[in-house]
Amino acid sequence: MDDERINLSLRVNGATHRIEDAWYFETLLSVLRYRLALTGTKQACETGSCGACTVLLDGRPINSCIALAADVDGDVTTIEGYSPADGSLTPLQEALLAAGDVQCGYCLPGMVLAGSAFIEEHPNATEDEVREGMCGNLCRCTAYLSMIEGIREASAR
Amino acid sequence: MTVTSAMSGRVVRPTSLEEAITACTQRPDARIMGGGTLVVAERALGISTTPAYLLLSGIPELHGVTPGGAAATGGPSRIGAQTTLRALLDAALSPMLDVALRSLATPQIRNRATVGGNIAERRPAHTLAPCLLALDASVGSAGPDGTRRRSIRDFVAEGLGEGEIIVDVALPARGGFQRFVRVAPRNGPGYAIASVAVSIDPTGRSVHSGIGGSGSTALPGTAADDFLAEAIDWASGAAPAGAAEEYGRLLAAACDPPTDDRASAGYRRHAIAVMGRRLIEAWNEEQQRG
Repeated sequence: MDDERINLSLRVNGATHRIEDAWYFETLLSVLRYRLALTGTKQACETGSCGACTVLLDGRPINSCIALAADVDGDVTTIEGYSPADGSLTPLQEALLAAGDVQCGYCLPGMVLAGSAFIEEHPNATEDEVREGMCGNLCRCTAYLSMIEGIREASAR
Repeated sequence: MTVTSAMSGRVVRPTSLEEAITACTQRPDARIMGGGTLVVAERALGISTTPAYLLLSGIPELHGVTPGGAAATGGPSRIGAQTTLRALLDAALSPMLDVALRSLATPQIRNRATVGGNIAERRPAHTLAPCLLALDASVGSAGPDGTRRRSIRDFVAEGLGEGEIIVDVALPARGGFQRFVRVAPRNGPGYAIASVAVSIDPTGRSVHSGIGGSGSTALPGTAADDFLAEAIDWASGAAPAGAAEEYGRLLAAACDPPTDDRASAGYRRHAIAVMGRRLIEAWNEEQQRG
């Protein structure tokens, strides 16, 4: 049915995108990956449980898999927009790499974006603060200790 | 701006409460959506194939928290239905809500999920309703027949009418002891198996509680609260020996818990009794420490 398709516009990584013929039930994750080819945002649980699809909306982390694209009003930042354009790493990315928090890497874009918002609000974070503040991101390689170390290290910089 | 008023017949985003009520009537098959964290996940799981969505995000009067005055003297705090759980946490209205909200899902979910969405469908496992029962809140709503305000007790018993949406939650100023505890499969994110929220206000000399996960909706612990308010010697701030035990027993008696894949009815009833007793013991200890 024709009315199952909608047009919408999204601001992603500083640019405005006009999306034609999206499904009315389409998620932000789906638009980012399959219409804008921003595949750094990962698709996993699709129920807001794992955090792999985390993006920033006006600077705050949300699960893009359970955000209706039609209901996203604000500036979206994906890992492509967060990472420096010259290919270098942010201090947080460097700290996570140095701590050894990179195995399969699937959770990492979400970890980095959630972590970036976390350290913004928690300078010199304690381990307990990291454990609570990062509870929305799962790592199936279970590299949690190096993740905690990397985020603590980055929050102290 | 992503959208204005209606994007198609299937996604409607009203910009005023009036428009929203009209849209509810015109599109009764639309699923009303606060932040969508539950609604969109249910679609992904195949639980729901909603033919249309009515988004509440574009209605300014549903957003934001207006803090009330001090305990005993001040007016109520007003929490708009579209307030995110993160914004409610940031508003620091009550020590009970602080603990409860930090245990509620993840930072990502709290940045999106709304107060109205957490209570609208009266799901027993959701966190806010037991707390709002313990804080003696009221719920304002609007529908085709106008607006109304009900106690949270009436709201959890009756729910929303046809085409009715939640406008706000009002929290009366309340001091004293406020606690929320739960049993859950783990400390991290996830629904509680059972939860208890209790508030004991020495100024108003009142006890209110809410029970989660142990009935078809959140339940008030009215009989237990009445018993304790009567048993406490408010002048000295002490409860007699055995009052905590009896309080827990009465809370458990108010439950009608389900047996499901997470826990048996007996486990839940026992957990409620233990949590109720321990909360009153904790209050007693606080009183003795002064």
